[in-house]
Amino acid sequence: MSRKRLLLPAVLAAVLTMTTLSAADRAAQADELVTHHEFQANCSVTTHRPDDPIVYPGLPGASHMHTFLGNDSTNAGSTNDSLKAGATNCKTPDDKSAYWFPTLYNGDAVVAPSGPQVIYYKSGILAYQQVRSFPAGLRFVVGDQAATREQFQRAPGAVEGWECGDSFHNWDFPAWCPPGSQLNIRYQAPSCWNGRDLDSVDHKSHMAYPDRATLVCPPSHPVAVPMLEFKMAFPVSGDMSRVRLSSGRGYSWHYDFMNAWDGPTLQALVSHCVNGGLQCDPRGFDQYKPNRGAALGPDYRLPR
Amino acid sequence: MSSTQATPERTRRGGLLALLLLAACSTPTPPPPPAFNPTDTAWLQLMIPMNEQALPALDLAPPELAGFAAAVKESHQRELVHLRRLRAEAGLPDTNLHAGHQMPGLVTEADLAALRLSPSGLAGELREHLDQSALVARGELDAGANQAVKDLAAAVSSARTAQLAELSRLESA
Repeated sequence: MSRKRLLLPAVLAAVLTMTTLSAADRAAQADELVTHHEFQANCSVTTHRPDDPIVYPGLPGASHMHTFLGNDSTNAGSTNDSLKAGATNCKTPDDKSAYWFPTLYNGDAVVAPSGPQVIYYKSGILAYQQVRSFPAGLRFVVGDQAATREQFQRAPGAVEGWECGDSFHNWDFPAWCPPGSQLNIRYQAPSCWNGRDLDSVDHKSHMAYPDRATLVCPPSHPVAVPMLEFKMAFPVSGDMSRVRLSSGRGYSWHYDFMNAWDGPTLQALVSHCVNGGLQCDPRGFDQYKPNRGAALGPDYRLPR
Repeated sequence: MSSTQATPERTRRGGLLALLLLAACSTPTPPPPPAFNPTDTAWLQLMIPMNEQALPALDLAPPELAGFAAAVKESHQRELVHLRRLRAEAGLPDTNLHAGHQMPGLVTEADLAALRLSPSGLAGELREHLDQSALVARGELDAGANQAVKDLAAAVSSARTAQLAELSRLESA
């Protein structure tokens, strides 16, 4: 209690100082205020295949159906080299990464997200200045297709579950969605790397989530890399009773990532947007802070 | 992953060096590569539910496919004996990694329900199942490591070729 009383004068002084700032000072301060540390990859669906180059490499047809985004060469035989030689529909053309997740169905019909989808690259740790770029060839699986509903709800990657209209925090598909609305999911990836392995036997244990309370990477996984956050929108609404994933119920949601960025391009975006505390588009430009410029050129590539 | 091509000359020299090193120290040779690679285990863990989940569908055959379905069922059950034995040898649990999955060639509960209503769909369902298991058998032959698993994949592959030919013959008859 006594500590609280002691603090009060300091708080009052701070408030008084704030009120004496000029309008220009306040504008400058707002610009300095860091509210985001992210950029987006915007990539569209390429295809749906029963392939999984991480879990079932070299074995086409061995996986439940997946919906692939970005690099259109992705298949069961994809390697870092083959991805680098492929083409992508991501807005940032030097992002040759492969992104995929279990295919969503309404009854027997595939429901594919339409148009570019948002894949955030954020800071998962408090000290966003320390986030470094992904190592070349890093790959991992996010989430657990065998999760129970409770595990999905408590998972460190969970954000608000499945959402549509005004309905949030659904840990399986909502029974009904307002006609014309989209079914949305956001889910965060682990962003602490063990600094050694580009993959692991379970395709997960070389990565870890930051500590929930302190937002610091654990000593076993000391290297903070960008935190991916998939934000997918599926055009399906109305009666949702026949909506399911190829991997099962809504709580079997998971996704996969194979990094095939051009190294300097990813580094430029991470430095400018994540380390620089901006809210960037796929060109590394923050429309609210235009004075900070863009990481990439008008063609969404590094000036060469 | 990139490695330079060893010329015969280099290989011979390398072999000589290895012999000298072996002679020089008493450490044993490096352990043999794992008997089952990830493709082997993935194939075993997929083929088992693929064959198992096809069995109840084969029981639903309409009269014109009944003889063929019975033969496929017997052959699938024989394959399952080998598949399960190899799964045990690989030290894998008997859990179904593909429970509830939607994927080509894997007969689901929903597929079975539809076939019960309309058994005439069996030919199409079977064709997809046989095609897909032929495809994954070729994947195992290309990317697998364990010889026993690859031998079984070769047997499955030739069985599927014959079964698909027989199915086509029955359908055009």
